[in-house]
Amino acid sequence: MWEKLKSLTLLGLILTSFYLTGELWLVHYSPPTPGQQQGEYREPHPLEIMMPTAIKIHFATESRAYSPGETGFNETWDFLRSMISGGHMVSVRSITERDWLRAYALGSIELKLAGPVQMRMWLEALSVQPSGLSTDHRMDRVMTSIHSNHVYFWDTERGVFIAWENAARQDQPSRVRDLTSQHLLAASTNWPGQEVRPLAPNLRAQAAAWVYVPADPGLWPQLLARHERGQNNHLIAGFFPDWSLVRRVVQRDGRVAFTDGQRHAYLHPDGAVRYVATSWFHPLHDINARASLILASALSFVARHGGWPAEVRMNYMGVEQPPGGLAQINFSFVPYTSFTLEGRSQFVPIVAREKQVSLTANERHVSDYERLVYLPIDVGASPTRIITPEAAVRVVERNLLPGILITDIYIGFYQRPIDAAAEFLFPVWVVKQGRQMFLVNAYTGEIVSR
Amino acid sequence: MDWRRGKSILIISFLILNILLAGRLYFIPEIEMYLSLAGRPSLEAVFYALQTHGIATDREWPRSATRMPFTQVSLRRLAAGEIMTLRQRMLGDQTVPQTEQVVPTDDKPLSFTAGQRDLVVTARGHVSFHNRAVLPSPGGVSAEEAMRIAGTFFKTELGNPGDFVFDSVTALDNASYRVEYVQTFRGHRVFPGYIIIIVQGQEVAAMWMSRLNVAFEAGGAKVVLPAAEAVLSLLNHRLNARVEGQMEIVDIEFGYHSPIYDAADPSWRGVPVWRIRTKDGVFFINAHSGVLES
Repeated sequence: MWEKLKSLTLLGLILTSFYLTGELWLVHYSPPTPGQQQGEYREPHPLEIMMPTAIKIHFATESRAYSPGETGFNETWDFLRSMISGGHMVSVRSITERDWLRAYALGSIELKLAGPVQMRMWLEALSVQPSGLSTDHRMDRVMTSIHSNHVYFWDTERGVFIAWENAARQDQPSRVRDLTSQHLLAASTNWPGQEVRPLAPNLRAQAAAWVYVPADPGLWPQLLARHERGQNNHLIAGFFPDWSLVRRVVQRDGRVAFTDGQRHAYLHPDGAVRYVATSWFHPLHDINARASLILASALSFVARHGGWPAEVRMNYMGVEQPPGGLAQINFSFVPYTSFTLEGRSQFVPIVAREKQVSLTANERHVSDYERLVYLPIDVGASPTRIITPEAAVRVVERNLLPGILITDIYIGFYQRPIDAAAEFLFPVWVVKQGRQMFLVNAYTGEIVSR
Repeated sequence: MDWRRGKSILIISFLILNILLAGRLYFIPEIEMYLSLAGRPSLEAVFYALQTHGIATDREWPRSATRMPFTQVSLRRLAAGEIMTLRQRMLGDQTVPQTEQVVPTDDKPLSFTAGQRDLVVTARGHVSFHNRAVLPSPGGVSAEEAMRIAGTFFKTELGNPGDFVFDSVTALDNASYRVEYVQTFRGHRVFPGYIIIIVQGQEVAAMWMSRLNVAFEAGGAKVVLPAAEAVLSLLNHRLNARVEGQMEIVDIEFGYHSPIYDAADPSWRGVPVWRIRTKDGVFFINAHSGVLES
């Protein structure tokens, strides 16, 4: 009898031990969160994301374009940087388009950025002291000319032109003009580049004077690109310091929402990720004066949450100051891909109507982050002739906004919705009127609708 | 060694093991909290900080269990029988159904009319009642009278649901009152579950009800902040945001909070919170983490 009792007691204790162990390990033990991969992550320097996407050199009888990676690009970029870096901006004024055109035509070097950035921030990245420059000035083109010693900036979206007067050193008053002339001579001799031209005469009046297109668009491949969907779980987990406090719910529109009460993350059915953080604080600083610091923190944030594509450029920067609300800066970035086509380097944006990498940041933290990035893998094997830029303009002509000039035309790869992990993206002509963008399938000439 | 002796050794070993496991599961977290091994400030320091900012600490501070789990919350669809009962109580026998179906669907709620009174029931379990015949009366009623009228409606028309408790009464602009009841679960308030009754004159002008299914999550109970710490957390948010004026607390309640999602999931997590009503509004402080729920 006693032995039977002992046996039952032992059995009970063993079962209790199983139960308590199960409670401890299966219920109360939280496995490690699927957090960020440890180790190095690439964080681009601010100047990297504000580098030109193309450089054009306008000679007396022709114009040529140079893409990053192409001979002539680095040489010209380094030349311009060395000419203006370390300078002090003492005098800047608005100029007319006519003044700008006089300097532009027949002898100039033009840098094209991906989109308008705060001029002050760009110059600071080049170690220029932008004293006397308002934080309101934005630009996406920079130019030096053989006709003057100014450095010219303009915002193609708003049609605003600015001249940095006396950019040369006082002991070398004609330095800008002289060095530009020398560089043009070197370029014409040594660097063939890609020939570019204005639009055909019958369409030229519809485009701004700075719009140049490839002389011969040639053959273009498709781009094999992959989705980031597989990484999204890690990305989401990385937003929350304590995963055990996170609530998750799948919504009927297909979004998966995660929140810990203060931070919210959403995973959309198309793979886009959105992160929103709320906090209460009273701003202490003028946000425009801190734009460079805020940009640096934004670059670091993206590096830690999803990472940066290998090639990327900032294509928008704007300060939002809602009445009674918190001042914030919105940054938008677009990925690029570089490859060689017919022996020539190409640097091509991956174009999307949705935001690809976009952040809003205040003086303390990133409050909004959206991400839908396709990563280029390789170009397709059978390049195909594409339609001319004039054909693309004719296709969208009836959709163009009346009374507004075309401000840019270029080729990109269209980031279309894809289901598989990797698919081919076709090239498109991008026709821009300010912030308005029209896409035309460069193979078929069909408008890519919203 | 004979088996009898072996059994004795095993019994003692498993007994010790189970004591250790049970202690780790149930007792050590509380011991850690009371001995401040978790590193939280003592309440004296919290009270001092509150007093420094003009918040009275001599009130009765509500208490909660030291550890609370999450809940799982889901929408509660009303069955056909429940809808019929509600219809009978609120609208009587002369009801005219406005739709043909017996239960509401996602794109088509169920609605009934009897004279000037309407009753609508949605597939998400929301019930709304309107009596368009009720007009504002010049003299109005007092708050106590409004509570009594709402209480009668609560008992007779709504069947005196045992899982709802009176929460608050608020005067509205047009000499009417909003009387609110909040859902409860195992003695804890579930704030997204509500019955709101608008009393105008001597009658109920409108009612909205949302009742949820609630269950505790198995395991995963975490330490809960004391109410005073939740108030301190809210105060910190206000100080950070430089909100002007002193924070005046109306009441503090412990409960569970969750948005109502249009969810494909059958249920989602509700979190324990301290609901702090101030003169400036109502705030929910996450009782696990101390963050202001947004």
